[in-house]
Amino acid sequence: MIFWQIFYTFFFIGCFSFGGGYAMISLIQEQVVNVHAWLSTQQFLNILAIAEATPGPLAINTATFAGFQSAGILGAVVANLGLLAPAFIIIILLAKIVGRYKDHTYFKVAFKGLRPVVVALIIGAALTLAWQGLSSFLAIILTLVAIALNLFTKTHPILLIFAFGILGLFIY
Amino acid sequence: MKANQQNKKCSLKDLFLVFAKIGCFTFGGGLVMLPLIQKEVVNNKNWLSEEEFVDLLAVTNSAPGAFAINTSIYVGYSLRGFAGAITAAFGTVLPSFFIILIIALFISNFANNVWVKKFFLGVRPAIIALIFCAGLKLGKVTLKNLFDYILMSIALILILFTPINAISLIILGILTGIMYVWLRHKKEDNKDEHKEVQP
Repeated sequence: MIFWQIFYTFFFIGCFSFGGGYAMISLIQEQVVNVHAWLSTQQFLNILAIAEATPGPLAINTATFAGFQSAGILGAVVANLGLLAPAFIIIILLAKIVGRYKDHTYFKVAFKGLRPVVVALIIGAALTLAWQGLSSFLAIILTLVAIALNLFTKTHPILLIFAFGILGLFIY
Repeated sequence: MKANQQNKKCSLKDLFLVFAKIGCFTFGGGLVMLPLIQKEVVNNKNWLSEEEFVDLLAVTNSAPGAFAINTSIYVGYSLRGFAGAITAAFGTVLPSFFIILIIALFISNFANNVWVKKFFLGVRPAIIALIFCAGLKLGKVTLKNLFDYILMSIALILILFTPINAISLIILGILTGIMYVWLRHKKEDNKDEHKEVQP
């Protein structure tokens, strides 16, 4: 039955995609396009473009679209539930472990080395995106302006995103 | 911690609304949710401290799956238990779910629309800046001594110039942290022994 297939396909994707939404894309493509042939490659590329141009996690957007194309609205719901189920199980399990042993010496020591790495992961992600995504001098200037606005004013991030989007309509 | 415990009183409705709001505006994937979650959950609502937030990110970053989903589940769970986890996750997912469905049903060629493209060209610098600043702000609070800064710099160089993945890096960080604390203890033990010998 198609719904069960969709569910376990996305459950599988949710279990084994280390490295966030972008790492999920290749797994989703393999399963949805190559293994099950629910979508053609061209359809998948269209979905990716739309997923990037809409708010929300990329994985959720892609799952919704792929589920919808293959089995309608219920397919979209099932795809999302498949993706969410492993996240619930894994994260709540980890949260329980961390909660129980948080004050244990070994845990404190582990987090001592973890925190700098997490900071590096986030700054590194921003720099990688900048390297790939900022193709013009204007874009670099805009980025610097946004950094200044974020660091030195109390502009809300949502307002910043929208203001820059609207600015984009006029200057590009 | 105690002060924080007090602040952790939040209704499920609040939790849902905060994550739905975040879910509505995070163009560019889950990572963009990070500065927004930080702003709302840490700065505005005071539900978590900056340190608790970093520790939580370490866990959600090393787990498989979508980063934003993992983070919202963990934040929800630490605030309101299982019901909180479900509420936060649905808050994050529902806006994008409906937006995608509407686009799939009614708007063909959405992504190729020239105005949509222009809007996203403008949005891109903003989201890069936001993610960068989120990292800076977390760094300012959590990096406390020379060791932290050196480890952060080495990790950053590895990320930028090698194809290393997040989990390897996180395991490397844990091992380095353990080694650092172990070496420091050994040094302090040596000092103590000297003191005892001298008189």
